[in-house]
Amino acid sequence: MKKHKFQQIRVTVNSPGEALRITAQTDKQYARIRGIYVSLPQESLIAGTMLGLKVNNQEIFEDLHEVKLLTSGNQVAPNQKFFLFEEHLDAAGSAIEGRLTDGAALETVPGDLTPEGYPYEAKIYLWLSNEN
Amino acid sequence: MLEAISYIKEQLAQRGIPIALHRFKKVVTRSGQNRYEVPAYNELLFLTNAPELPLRTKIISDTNIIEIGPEHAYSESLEEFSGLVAIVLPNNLTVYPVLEFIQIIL
Amino acid sequence: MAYISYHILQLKVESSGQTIHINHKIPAYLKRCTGFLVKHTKGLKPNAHLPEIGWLNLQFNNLNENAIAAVVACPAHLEVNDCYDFQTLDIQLKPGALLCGIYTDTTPISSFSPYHISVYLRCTSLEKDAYNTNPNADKEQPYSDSFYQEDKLC
Repeated sequence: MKKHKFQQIRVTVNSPGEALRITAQTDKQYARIRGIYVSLPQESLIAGTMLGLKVNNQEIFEDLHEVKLLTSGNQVAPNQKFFLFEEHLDAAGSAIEGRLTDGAALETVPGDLTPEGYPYEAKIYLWLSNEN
Repeated sequence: MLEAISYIKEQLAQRGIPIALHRFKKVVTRSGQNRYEVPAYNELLFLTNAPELPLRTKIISDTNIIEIGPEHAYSESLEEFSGLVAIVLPNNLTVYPVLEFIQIIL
Repeated sequence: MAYISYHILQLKVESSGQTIHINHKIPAYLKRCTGFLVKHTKGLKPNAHLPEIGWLNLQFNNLNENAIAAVVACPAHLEVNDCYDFQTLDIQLKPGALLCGIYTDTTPISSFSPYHISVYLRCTSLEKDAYNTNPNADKEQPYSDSFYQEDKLC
């Protein structure tokens, strides 16, 4: 039986302050979502960025939940980076819905200039497991 | 010529992956939009018309990334994608392609 | 008794945005993969910690088990970091099966220079008597080098 999988969910953020709806599905072959880790490509993007998350329509994080609490810096070992769920969260093809809100202030950029650091891809990693 | 569906069925049988359904899926592109996203969680998408796509078209998925180059012009190989499949077209196209996939639902 | 063997894949990134396709045969004597670690080895010398220089996806056992998705970070130049606990995995490896996947570079262009990353797979091998052909093996402690350690987890 397959025991562990790290599943990636990618979200493209195009502009400062943007709020994006996330939809995904967990791998059917794993029973449980054991943990979550969120990665943004630059540390400066973390402040104020929020992630709301629902699994099978059950709210896990409100939309105001800070990504800062779901990520970690360089001084944390890979095995410690995940925020672990104490409760049993079903994976097995569960519907993942969420909302990622970029932490930067909505700003008007003159002309068609793209603000520095944008677009970027946020990555949400789910630790799926078949172990209790 | 490679018979795509037979190849896919045989390969997935070798990998021990059961197929719930296989069917065709098209992504129609149009002027004014150069990025498209196709969610393919618990699915596999096999690109069947790579030789017809514009050079420098990028397909970025969780498990595979390709950029269409001259080597795809005569290739019969089937590129496989899974997870979130993002299609990024090059700028200044005059003809907008239709991407054709064989969709395998697992 | 099973032994831990750290199997290493080294990837060389030579251009910004490059995608490397991985098709690697894991040696048949490795039976189980119990953890992984991906780290920048050399090349980049950023002034500040880069949380992402690229991301990796790996499928084990001839495309049967898509177990690893991970982002790769790079510490600031000369920053000391000893936090290298392996990420948990538990995969029964089919003998001689392919490990396939991609690594794609996402290093900010201003920080890019060619670099290497290493993917460490913590694997357990056959019991040592099963692949050691040296009749005096028991007397010579053949696994005393740092590449093999006694697996306390198994």
